[in-house]
Amino acid sequence: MTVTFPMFGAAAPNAAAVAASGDPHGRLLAGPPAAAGWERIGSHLTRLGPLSRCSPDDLRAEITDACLLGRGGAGFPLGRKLEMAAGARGHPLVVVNGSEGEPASRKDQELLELRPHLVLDGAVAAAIAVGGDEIVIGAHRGRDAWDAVAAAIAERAADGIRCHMVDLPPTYLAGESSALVSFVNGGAPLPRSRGAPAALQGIAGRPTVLSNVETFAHLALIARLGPAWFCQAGSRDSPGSTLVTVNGDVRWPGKVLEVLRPVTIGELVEPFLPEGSRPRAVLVGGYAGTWVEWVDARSLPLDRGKLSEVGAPLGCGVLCVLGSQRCGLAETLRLLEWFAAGSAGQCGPCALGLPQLAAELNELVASRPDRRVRRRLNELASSIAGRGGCHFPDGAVHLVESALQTFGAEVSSHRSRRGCNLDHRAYFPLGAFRR
Amino acid sequence: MIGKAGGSGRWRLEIDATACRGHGICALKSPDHVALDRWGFAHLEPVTIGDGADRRKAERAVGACPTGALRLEPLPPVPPRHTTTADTRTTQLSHGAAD
Repeated sequence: MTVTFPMFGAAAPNAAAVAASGDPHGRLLAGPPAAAGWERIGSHLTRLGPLSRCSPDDLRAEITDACLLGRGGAGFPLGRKLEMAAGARGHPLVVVNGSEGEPASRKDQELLELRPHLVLDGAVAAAIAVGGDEIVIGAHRGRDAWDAVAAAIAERAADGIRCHMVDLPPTYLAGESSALVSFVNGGAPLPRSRGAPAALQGIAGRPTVLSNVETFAHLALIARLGPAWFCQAGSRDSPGSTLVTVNGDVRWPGKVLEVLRPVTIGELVEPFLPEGSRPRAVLVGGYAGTWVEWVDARSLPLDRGKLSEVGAPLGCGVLCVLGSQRCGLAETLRLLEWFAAGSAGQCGPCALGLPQLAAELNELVASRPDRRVRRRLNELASSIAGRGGCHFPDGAVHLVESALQTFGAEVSSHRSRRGCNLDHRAYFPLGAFRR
Repeated sequence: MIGKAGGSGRWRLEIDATACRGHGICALKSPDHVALDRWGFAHLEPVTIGDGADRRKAERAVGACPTGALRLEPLPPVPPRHTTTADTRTTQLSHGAAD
Protein backbone atom coordinates (compact mmCIF):
# COMPACT_ATOMS: atom_id res chain seq x y z
CA MET A 1 0.00 0.00 0.00
CA THR A 2 3.02 2.22 0.42
CA VAL A 3 3.59 4.14 -2.78
CA THR A 4 6.68 6.23 -3.26
CA PHE A 5 6.15 9.55 -4.92
CA PRO A 6 9.17 11.24 -6.41
CA MET A 7 8.39 14.45 -4.54
CA PHE A 8 8.09 12.54 -1.27
CA GLY A 9 11.20 10.39 -1.70
CA ALA A 10 13.15 9.42 1.40
CA ALA A 11 14.73 12.48 2.96
CA ALA A 12 18.11 12.94 1.36
CA PRO A 13 20.77 14.12 3.81
CA ASN A 14 20.83 17.52 2.18
CA ALA A 15 17.07 17.86 1.82
CA ALA A 16 15.81 21.07 3.34
CA ALA A 17 14.56 20.54 6.85
CA VAL A 18 11.94 23.28 6.73
CA ALA A 19 9.26 23.88 4.11
CA ALA A 20 6.82 26.72 3.49
CA SER A 21 3.57 26.31 1.58
CA GLY A 22 4.16 25.35 -2.03
CA ASP A 23 7.67 23.99 -1.38
CA PRO A 24 7.96 20.70 -3.25
CA HIS A 25 9.92 19.02 -0.46
CA GLY A 26 7.19 19.75 2.08
CA ARG A 27 4.48 17.28 3.01
CA LEU A 28 1.29 18.92 4.24
CA LEU A 29 1.74 22.15 2.30
CA ALA A 30 3.43 20.77 -0.81
CA GLY A 31 1.65 21.51 -4.07
CA PRO A 32 0.65 24.76 -5.73
CA PRO A 33 2.01 28.01 -4.26
CA ALA A 34 -0.05 29.85 -1.66
CA ALA A 35 -0.93 32.57 -4.18
CA ALA A 36 -2.88 29.99 -6.19
CA GLY A 37 -5.44 29.66 -3.38
CA TRP A 38 -7.05 26.40 -2.39
CA GLU A 39 -5.99 23.33 -4.31
CA ARG A 40 -8.74 22.00 -6.57
CA ILE A 41 -9.68 18.33 -6.55
CA GLY A 42 -8.00 17.70 -9.92
CA SER A 43 -4.63 18.96 -8.81
CA HIS A 44 -5.00 17.23 -5.46
CA LEU A 45 -5.73 13.83 -7.02
CA THR A 46 -3.04 14.18 -9.70
CA ARG A 47 -0.51 15.00 -7.03
CA LEU A 48 -1.45 12.40 -4.43
CA GLY A 49 -3.73 9.86 -6.10
CA PRO A 50 -7.00 8.68 -4.61
CA LEU A 51 -7.36 7.59 -1.00
CA SER A 52 -6.92 3.82 -1.07
CA ARG A 53 -9.77 1.88 0.44
CA CYS A 54 -8.52 -0.66 2.93
CA SER A 55 -10.18 -2.42 5.83
CA PRO A 56 -10.90 -0.38 8.98
CA ASP A 57 -8.73 -2.73 11.07
CA ASP A 58 -5.71 -2.40 8.75
CA LEU A 59 -6.11 1.37 8.61
CA ARG A 60 -6.25 1.68 12.41
CA ALA A 61 -3.19 -0.56 12.72
CA GLU A 62 -1.27 1.67 10.29
CA ILE A 63 -2.24 4.82 12.17
CA THR A 64 -1.22 3.24 15.48
CA ASP A 65 2.13 2.19 13.94
CA ALA A 66 2.72 5.76 12.78
CA CYS A 67 2.43 6.99 16.40
CA LEU A 68 0.62 10.11 15.17
CA LEU A 69 -0.11 12.39 18.11
CA GLY A 70 -2.93 14.95 18.03
CA ARG A 71 -1.66 18.36 16.93
CA GLY A 72 -4.14 20.55 18.78
CA GLY A 73 -1.94 20.86 21.86
CA ALA A 74 -2.82 17.91 24.09
CA GLY A 75 -0.90 15.37 21.97
CA PHE A 76 -3.27 12.43 22.46
CA PRO A 77 -2.34 9.43 20.25
CA LEU A 78 -4.79 9.31 17.34
CA GLY A 79 -4.49 5.52 17.10
CA ARG A 80 -5.82 5.16 20.61
CA LYS A 81 -8.66 7.59 19.96
CA LEU A 82 -9.70 5.58 16.90
CA GLU A 83 -9.57 2.28 18.84
CA MET A 84 -11.75 3.79 21.57
CA ALA A 85 -14.32 5.07 19.06
CA ALA A 86 -14.30 1.84 17.04
CA GLY A 87 -14.90 -0.23 20.16
CA ALA A 88 -17.55 2.02 21.71
CA ARG A 89 -21.27 1.48 21.44
CA GLY A 90 -23.08 3.49 18.78
CA HIS A 91 -22.50 4.72 15.23
CA PRO A 92 -19.23 6.72 15.19
CA LEU A 93 -18.68 10.05 13.50
CA VAL A 94 -15.71 12.33 12.87
CA VAL A 95 -15.28 15.97 13.88
CA VAL A 96 -12.59 18.20 12.38
CA ASN A 97 -11.80 20.92 14.90
CA GLY A 98 -10.93 23.97 12.83
CA SER A 99 -11.55 26.54 15.55
CA GLU A 100 -7.89 27.46 16.11
CA GLY A 101 -8.76 29.88 18.90
CA GLU A 102 -5.10 30.45 19.73
CA PRO A 103 -4.62 33.96 18.30
CA ALA A 104 -0.94 33.46 17.42
CA SER A 105 -1.55 30.21 15.53
CA ARG A 106 -2.37 30.11 11.83
CA LYS A 107 -1.42 26.59 10.75
CA ASP A 108 -4.93 25.13 10.76
CA GLN A 109 -6.41 28.10 8.89
CA GLU A 110 -3.61 27.79 6.32
CA LEU A 111 -4.28 24.08 5.82
CA LEU A 112 -8.02 24.67 5.41
CA GLU A 113 -7.46 27.67 3.13
CA LEU A 114 -4.91 25.97 0.87
CA ARG A 115 -5.35 22.19 1.21
CA PRO A 116 -9.01 21.55 2.12
CA HIS A 117 -9.08 18.25 0.21
CA LEU A 118 -6.13 16.92 2.19
CA VAL A 119 -7.92 17.67 5.47
CA LEU A 120 -11.19 16.19 4.18
CA ASP A 121 -9.33 13.06 3.01
CA GLY A 122 -7.95 12.67 6.52
CA ALA A 123 -11.44 12.94 7.98
CA VAL A 124 -12.71 10.39 5.44
CA ALA A 125 -9.85 8.05 6.40
CA ALA A 126 -10.75 8.45 10.09
CA ALA A 127 -14.40 7.71 9.28
CA ILE A 128 -13.38 4.57 7.37
CA ALA A 129 -11.12 3.51 10.23
CA VAL A 130 -13.99 3.55 12.73
CA GLY A 131 -16.77 2.42 10.38
CA GLY A 132 -18.45 5.82 10.24
CA ASP A 133 -20.02 7.69 7.33
CA GLU A 134 -20.44 11.22 8.67
CA ILE A 135 -18.02 14.14 9.07
CA VAL A 136 -18.55 17.44 10.85
CA ILE A 137 -16.15 20.29 10.09
CA GLY A 138 -16.14 23.05 12.68
CA ALA A 139 -14.84 26.38 11.30
CA HIS A 140 -15.64 30.08 11.23
CA ARG A 141 -18.09 31.35 8.60
CA GLY A 142 -16.83 34.41 6.81
CA ARG A 143 -13.19 33.37 6.80
CA ASP A 144 -11.34 32.13 3.73
CA ALA A 145 -10.96 28.72 5.37
CA TRP A 146 -14.74 28.29 5.54
CA ASP A 147 -15.22 29.18 1.87
CA ALA A 148 -12.39 26.89 0.76
CA VAL A 149 -13.80 23.90 2.68
CA ALA A 150 -17.35 24.56 1.49
CA ALA A 151 -16.16 24.76 -2.13
CA ALA A 152 -14.03 21.65 -1.71
CA ILE A 153 -16.96 19.65 -0.30
CA ALA A 154 -19.08 20.69 -3.28
CA GLU A 155 -16.33 19.47 -5.61
CA ARG A 156 -15.95 16.00 -4.16
CA ALA A 157 -17.50 12.96 -5.76
CA ALA A 158 -20.11 11.19 -3.66
CA ASP A 159 -18.02 8.74 -1.69
CA GLY A 160 -20.79 7.64 0.66
CA ILE A 161 -19.65 10.00 3.39
CA ARG A 162 -21.75 12.99 4.42
CA CYS A 163 -20.03 16.24 5.33
CA HIS A 164 -21.59 18.96 7.48
CA MET A 165 -20.09 22.31 8.36
CA VAL A 166 -20.68 23.96 11.72
CA ASP A 167 -20.06 27.66 12.33
CA LEU A 168 -18.16 27.86 15.62
CA PRO A 169 -18.29 30.82 18.01
CA PRO A 170 -15.12 32.95 17.74
CA THR A 171 -13.91 32.26 21.28
CA TYR A 172 -10.81 30.48 22.48
CA LEU A 173 -12.77 28.07 24.66
CA ALA A 174 -15.14 27.05 21.85
CA GLY A 175 -12.25 24.99 20.49
CA GLU A 176 -11.83 23.00 23.69
CA SER A 177 -13.04 19.53 22.77
CA SER A 178 -15.82 19.16 25.37
CA ALA A 179 -17.00 22.71 24.61
CA LEU A 180 -17.13 21.94 20.90
CA VAL A 181 -19.10 18.75 21.53
CA SER A 182 -21.48 20.65 23.80
CA PHE A 183 -21.99 23.34 21.14
CA VAL A 184 -22.64 20.89 18.29
CA ASN A 185 -25.11 19.10 20.60
CA GLY A 186 -27.04 22.36 20.90
CA GLY A 187 -25.61 23.52 24.21
CA ALA A 188 -23.36 26.40 25.21
CA PRO A 189 -19.81 26.36 23.79
CA LEU A 190 -18.33 25.86 27.24
CA PRO A 191 -16.09 23.11 28.62
CA ARG A 192 -17.74 20.30 30.51
CA SER A 193 -15.80 18.74 33.33
CA ARG A 194 -17.94 15.63 33.63
CA GLY A 195 -18.92 12.84 31.34
CA ALA A 196 -17.25 10.29 29.13
CA PRO A 197 -14.55 11.33 26.62
CA ALA A 198 -15.89 12.30 23.18
CA ALA A 199 -14.28 9.21 21.62
CA LEU A 200 -16.72 7.08 23.64
CA GLN A 201 -19.72 9.41 23.87
CA GLY A 202 -19.64 12.70 21.99
CA ILE A 203 -21.97 14.26 19.42
CA ALA A 204 -25.54 13.00 20.08
CA GLY A 205 -24.04 10.44 22.43
CA ARG A 206 -22.23 8.74 19.55
CA PRO A 207 -18.53 7.80 19.60
CA THR A 208 -16.79 10.87 18.16
CA VAL A 209 -13.31 11.10 16.68
CA LEU A 210 -12.61 14.76 17.34
CA SER A 211 -9.20 16.06 16.38
CA ASN A 212 -7.28 19.02 15.13
CA VAL A 213 -7.06 20.00 11.42
CA GLU A 214 -3.34 19.23 11.16
CA THR A 215 -3.87 15.76 12.65
CA PHE A 216 -6.31 14.91 9.83
CA ALA A 217 -3.94 16.28 7.18
CA HIS A 218 -1.21 13.93 8.43
CA LEU A 219 -3.71 11.10 8.47
CA ALA A 220 -4.56 11.67 4.80
CA LEU A 221 -0.91 11.08 3.91
CA ILE A 222 -0.40 8.13 6.28
CA ALA A 223 -3.44 6.44 4.71
CA ARG A 224 -1.76 6.78 1.30
CA LEU A 225 1.92 6.36 2.02
CA GLY A 226 2.03 4.30 5.19
CA PRO A 227 3.54 4.65 8.65
CA ALA A 228 7.14 3.95 7.55
CA TRP A 229 7.01 6.94 5.23
CA PHE A 230 5.46 9.10 7.96
CA CYS A 231 8.26 8.24 10.38
CA GLN A 232 10.98 9.32 7.92
CA ALA A 233 10.32 12.86 9.07
CA GLY A 234 10.69 14.08 12.63
CA SER A 235 12.68 12.13 15.16
CA ARG A 236 12.47 8.65 16.60
CA ASP A 237 10.56 9.89 19.66
CA SER A 238 8.33 12.30 17.78
CA PRO A 239 7.77 10.97 14.28
CA GLY A 240 6.29 12.97 11.44
CA SER A 241 6.64 16.52 10.32
CA THR A 242 5.16 19.34 12.36
CA LEU A 243 3.57 22.66 11.44
CA VAL A 244 4.82 25.71 13.27
CA THR A 245 3.51 29.30 13.25
CA VAL A 246 6.20 31.94 13.78
CA ASN A 247 4.74 35.09 15.27
CA GLY A 248 5.60 38.21 17.26
CA ASP A 249 8.61 40.40 16.46
CA VAL A 250 9.49 38.84 13.12
CA ARG A 251 9.20 39.78 9.50
CA TRP A 252 5.93 38.18 8.24
CA PRO A 253 4.30 37.45 11.57
CA GLY A 254 1.99 34.48 11.24
CA LYS A 255 4.24 32.60 8.82
CA VAL A 256 3.47 28.86 8.79
CA LEU A 257 6.38 26.47 8.30
CA GLU A 258 6.60 22.72 8.18
CA VAL A 259 9.49 21.24 10.15
CA LEU A 260 10.63 18.00 8.52
CA ARG A 261 13.68 17.33 10.63
CA PRO A 262 14.43 18.70 14.12
CA VAL A 263 16.25 21.92 13.33
CA THR A 264 16.92 24.24 16.24
CA ILE A 265 14.58 27.09 17.11
CA GLY A 266 17.43 29.42 16.13
CA GLU A 267 17.79 27.88 12.66
CA LEU A 268 14.05 28.17 12.08
CA VAL A 269 13.49 31.67 13.45
CA GLU A 270 16.70 33.51 12.47
CA PRO A 271 15.78 33.93 8.78
CA PHE A 272 12.65 35.77 9.93
CA LEU A 273 14.28 38.19 12.33
CA PRO A 274 14.61 41.83 11.32
CA GLU A 275 18.17 42.47 10.25
CA GLY A 276 20.65 42.74 13.08
CA SER A 277 18.06 42.02 15.75
CA ARG A 278 18.55 39.60 18.57
CA PRO A 279 15.37 38.62 20.39
CA ARG A 280 14.98 38.71 24.15
CA ALA A 281 12.92 35.51 24.43
CA VAL A 282 10.55 33.12 22.67
CA LEU A 283 7.14 32.05 23.92
CA VAL A 284 7.06 28.36 23.00
CA GLY A 285 3.73 26.54 22.56
CA GLY A 286 1.27 29.43 22.38
CA TYR A 287 -0.18 31.73 25.00
CA ALA A 288 -0.52 28.91 27.53
CA GLY A 289 3.11 28.11 26.77
CA THR A 290 6.55 28.71 28.19
CA TRP A 291 8.87 31.71 27.92
CA VAL A 292 12.44 30.72 27.06
CA GLU A 293 15.30 33.21 26.89
CA TRP A 294 16.67 33.50 23.37
CA VAL A 295 20.16 32.39 24.42
CA ASP A 296 18.65 29.07 25.56
CA ALA A 297 15.90 28.80 22.95
CA ARG A 298 18.10 29.19 19.88
CA SER A 299 19.88 25.89 20.48
CA LEU A 300 16.75 23.89 21.41
CA PRO A 301 15.72 21.33 18.78
CA LEU A 302 12.21 21.76 17.34
CA ASP A 303 11.21 18.31 18.40
CA ARG A 304 8.03 17.69 20.38
CA GLY A 305 9.63 15.11 22.66
CA LYS A 306 12.77 17.13 23.39
CA LEU A 307 10.84 20.34 24.03
CA SER A 308 8.52 18.57 26.46
CA GLU A 309 11.58 17.16 28.25
CA VAL A 310 12.99 20.64 28.85
CA GLY A 311 9.61 21.88 30.08
CA ALA A 312 8.64 23.92 27.03
CA PRO A 313 6.18 21.71 25.11
CA LEU A 314 5.44 22.77 21.53
CA GLY A 315 1.67 22.52 22.10
CA CYS A 316 -0.17 23.85 19.06
CA GLY A 317 3.12 24.74 17.37
CA VAL A 318 3.37 28.46 18.07
CA LEU A 319 6.70 30.28 18.45
CA CYS A 320 6.16 33.90 19.51
CA VAL A 321 9.30 36.01 19.37
CA LEU A 322 9.85 38.87 21.82
CA GLY A 323 12.24 41.54 20.54
CA SER A 324 15.20 42.69 22.61
CA GLN A 325 13.70 46.12 23.35
CA ARG A 326 10.39 44.79 24.62
CA CYS A 327 9.29 44.06 28.14
CA GLY A 328 8.27 40.42 28.63
CA LEU A 329 6.34 41.25 31.79
CA ALA A 330 4.19 43.85 30.03
CA GLU A 331 3.47 41.42 27.18
CA THR A 332 2.62 38.68 29.70
CA LEU A 333 0.24 41.02 31.52
CA ARG A 334 -1.67 41.69 28.32
CA LEU A 335 -1.91 37.98 27.55
CA LEU A 336 -3.05 37.32 31.12
CA GLU A 337 -5.76 39.97 30.76
CA TRP A 338 -6.80 38.20 27.56
CA PHE A 339 -7.06 34.94 29.51
CA ALA A 340 -9.05 36.62 32.30
CA ALA A 341 -11.50 38.08 29.76
CA GLY A 342 -11.88 34.69 28.09
CA SER A 343 -12.76 32.65 31.15
CA ALA A 344 -16.05 30.84 30.72
CA GLY A 345 -16.93 32.03 34.22
CA GLN A 346 -18.04 28.56 35.24
CA CYS A 347 -15.46 27.80 37.94
CA GLY A 348 -14.78 30.19 40.83
CA PRO A 349 -10.98 29.96 40.99
CA CYS A 350 -10.74 30.78 37.25
CA ALA A 351 -13.46 33.45 37.08
CA LEU A 352 -12.28 35.26 40.23
CA GLY A 353 -8.62 34.26 40.33
CA LEU A 354 -7.45 35.27 36.85
CA PRO A 355 -8.57 38.94 37.15
CA GLN A 356 -6.88 39.13 40.57
CA LEU A 357 -3.71 37.58 39.21
CA ALA A 358 -3.76 40.16 36.40
CA ALA A 359 -4.29 42.99 38.89
CA GLU A 360 -1.28 41.86 40.93
CA LEU A 361 0.90 41.52 37.85
CA ASN A 362 -0.26 44.97 36.79
CA GLU A 363 1.08 46.36 40.08
CA LEU A 364 4.45 44.91 39.21
CA VAL A 365 4.38 46.07 35.58
CA ALA A 366 3.28 49.58 36.61
CA SER A 367 6.39 49.63 38.83
CA ARG A 368 4.56 50.28 42.06
CA PRO A 369 4.88 46.93 43.76
CA ASP A 370 5.19 46.52 47.46
CA ARG A 371 7.67 43.99 48.78
CA ARG A 372 5.15 41.20 48.96
CA VAL A 373 3.87 41.26 45.36
CA ARG A 374 5.95 38.27 44.35
CA ARG A 375 4.57 36.22 47.25
CA ARG A 376 1.00 37.25 46.48
CA LEU A 377 1.46 36.27 42.84
CA ASN A 378 2.76 32.84 43.87
CA GLU A 379 -0.05 32.30 46.36
CA LEU A 380 -2.71 33.30 43.85
CA ALA A 381 -1.13 31.07 41.22
CA SER A 382 -1.29 28.05 43.51
CA SER A 383 -4.92 28.83 44.43
CA ILE A 384 -5.87 28.76 40.75
CA ALA A 385 -3.77 25.98 39.21
CA GLY A 386 -5.55 22.64 38.84
CA ARG A 387 -8.84 24.01 40.19
CA GLY A 388 -10.83 24.53 37.02
CA GLY A 389 -13.06 22.08 35.22
CA CYS A 390 -10.73 22.41 32.21
CA HIS A 391 -7.07 23.40 31.81
CA PHE A 392 -7.73 26.98 30.72
CA PRO A 393 -6.71 28.60 34.06
CA ASP A 394 -3.68 26.29 34.32
CA GLY A 395 -2.36 27.66 31.05
CA ALA A 396 -2.66 31.26 32.29
CA VAL A 397 -0.89 30.42 35.54
CA HIS A 398 1.87 28.60 33.71
CA LEU A 399 2.42 31.62 31.46
CA VAL A 400 2.81 33.94 34.47
CA GLU A 401 5.09 31.57 36.38
CA SER A 402 7.37 31.10 33.40
CA ALA A 403 7.46 34.88 32.82
CA LEU A 404 8.53 35.54 36.41
CA GLN A 405 11.21 32.89 36.03
CA THR A 406 12.49 33.98 32.64
CA PHE A 407 12.33 37.75 33.06
CA GLY A 408 14.22 37.97 36.35
CA ALA A 409 16.12 41.07 35.20
CA GLU A 410 12.88 42.80 34.21
CA VAL A 411 11.28 41.90 37.56
CA SER A 412 14.25 43.52 39.34
CA SER A 413 14.11 46.71 37.31
CA HIS A 414 10.33 46.98 37.77
CA ARG A 415 10.85 46.68 41.52
CA SER A 416 13.69 49.18 41.63
CA ARG A 417 13.28 52.92 41.76
CA ARG A 418 14.53 53.57 38.24
CA GLY A 419 11.85 51.29 36.74
CA CYS A 420 11.82 49.50 33.39
CA ASN A 421 12.90 51.40 30.28
CA LEU A 422 11.83 48.72 27.79
CA ASP A 423 9.01 49.08 25.28
CA HIS A 424 5.71 48.33 27.02
CA ARG A 425 3.54 48.49 23.93
CA ALA A 426 1.77 45.29 22.92
CA TYR A 427 2.83 43.29 19.90
CA PHE A 428 1.41 39.77 20.10
CA PRO A 429 -1.88 39.28 18.25
CA LEU A 430 -5.05 38.85 20.28
CA GLY A 431 -8.25 37.44 18.83
CA ALA A 432 -11.42 39.35 19.55
CA PHE A 433 -13.15 37.69 22.46
CA ARG A 434 -16.82 37.12 22.87
CA ARG A 435 -17.93 35.40 26.02
CA MET B 1 -22.25 5.88 43.30
CA ILE B 2 -22.72 5.78 47.07
CA GLY B 3 -23.25 2.27 48.38
CA LYS B 4 -22.04 0.63 45.18
CA ALA B 5 -18.72 -0.18 46.75
CA GLY B 6 -15.86 -1.32 44.60
CA GLY B 7 -15.16 -3.68 47.48
CA SER B 8 -11.92 -1.92 48.33
CA GLY B 9 -13.22 0.12 51.25
CA ARG B 10 -11.30 3.10 49.85
CA TRP B 11 -12.98 6.19 48.51
CA ARG B 12 -12.15 9.61 47.17
CA LEU B 13 -14.20 12.76 46.92
CA GLU B 14 -14.43 14.32 43.47
CA ILE B 15 -15.68 17.75 42.56
CA ASP B 16 -17.27 19.18 39.45
CA ALA B 17 -15.60 22.58 39.55
CA THR B 18 -18.11 23.99 37.06
CA ALA B 19 -20.95 23.19 39.48
CA CYS B 20 -19.41 24.45 42.76
CA ARG B 21 -20.99 27.78 43.75
CA GLY B 22 -19.08 28.21 46.99
CA HIS B 23 -21.89 27.53 49.47
CA GLY B 24 -19.26 25.98 51.73
CA ILE B 25 -21.54 23.52 53.55
CA CYS B 26 -19.31 20.61 52.54
CA ALA B 27 -16.40 22.04 54.52
CA LEU B 28 -18.60 22.28 57.62
CA LYS B 29 -19.86 18.73 57.24
CA SER B 30 -16.52 17.15 56.48
CA PRO B 31 -13.62 19.45 57.41
CA ASP B 32 -11.04 16.65 57.14
CA HIS B 33 -11.80 16.18 53.46
CA VAL B 34 -12.83 19.59 52.17
CA ALA B 35 -11.26 22.99 52.73
CA LEU B 36 -12.45 26.31 51.37
CA ASP B 37 -10.14 28.40 49.23
CA ARG B 38 -9.67 32.17 49.50
CA TRP B 39 -12.89 32.75 47.57
CA GLY B 40 -14.92 30.17 49.49
CA PHE B 41 -14.92 27.46 46.85
CA ALA B 42 -14.42 23.84 47.86
CA HIS B 43 -10.85 22.59 47.67
CA LEU B 44 -10.48 18.85 48.20
CA GLU B 45 -7.77 17.57 50.46
CA PRO B 46 -5.77 14.85 48.67
CA VAL B 47 -6.84 12.12 51.08
CA THR B 48 -8.15 8.59 50.72
CA ILE B 49 -11.38 8.02 52.59
CA GLY B 50 -11.88 4.73 54.40
CA ASP B 51 -15.11 2.97 55.34
CA GLY B 52 -16.84 3.78 58.59
CA ALA B 53 -17.18 7.17 60.24
CA ASP B 54 -14.78 8.72 57.73
CA ARG B 55 -16.97 7.72 54.83
CA ARG B 56 -20.20 8.72 56.56
CA LYS B 57 -18.83 12.24 57.03
CA ALA B 58 -17.87 12.47 53.37
CA GLU B 59 -21.33 11.23 52.40
CA ARG B 60 -22.89 14.00 54.47
CA ALA B 61 -20.78 16.55 52.59
CA VAL B 62 -21.91 15.06 49.28
CA GLY B 63 -25.55 15.08 50.36
CA ALA B 64 -25.40 18.64 51.67
CA CYS B 65 -24.12 20.28 48.46
CA PRO B 66 -26.98 22.37 47.03
CA THR B 67 -25.60 22.11 43.49
CA GLY B 68 -24.62 18.43 43.55
CA ALA B 69 -20.99 19.27 42.81
CA LEU B 70 -19.48 16.52 44.97
CA ARG B 71 -19.27 12.80 44.37
CA LEU B 72 -17.82 9.97 46.38
CA GLU B 73 -15.97 7.65 44.04
CA PRO B 74 -14.69 4.17 44.93
CA LEU B 75 -10.98 3.64 44.50
CA PRO B 76 -9.49 0.40 43.19
CA PRO B 77 -7.94 -1.70 45.94
CA VAL B 78 -4.23 -1.50 46.63
CA PRO B 79 -2.62 -4.31 44.62
CA PRO B 80 -1.63 -7.10 47.00
CA ARG B 81 2.06 -7.71 47.44
CA HIS B 82 1.88 -11.50 46.91
CA THR B 83 -0.52 -11.93 44.08
CA THR B 84 -2.43 -15.17 43.86
CA THR B 85 -4.73 -16.06 41.01
CA ALA B 86 -7.79 -15.30 43.12
CA ASP B 87 -6.43 -11.91 44.14
CA THR B 88 -5.74 -10.95 40.56
CA ARG B 89 -9.29 -11.76 39.58
CA THR B 90 -10.70 -9.60 42.39
CA THR B 91 -8.48 -6.70 41.38
CA GLN B 92 -9.59 -6.82 37.76
CA LEU B 93 -13.26 -7.03 38.68
CA SER B 94 -13.17 -4.05 40.98
CA HIS B 95 -11.23 -2.03 38.42
CA GLY B 96 -14.16 -2.66 36.12
CA ALA B 97 -16.60 -1.54 38.78
CA ALA B 98 -14.62 1.59 39.49
CA ASP B 99 -14.69 2.54 35.85
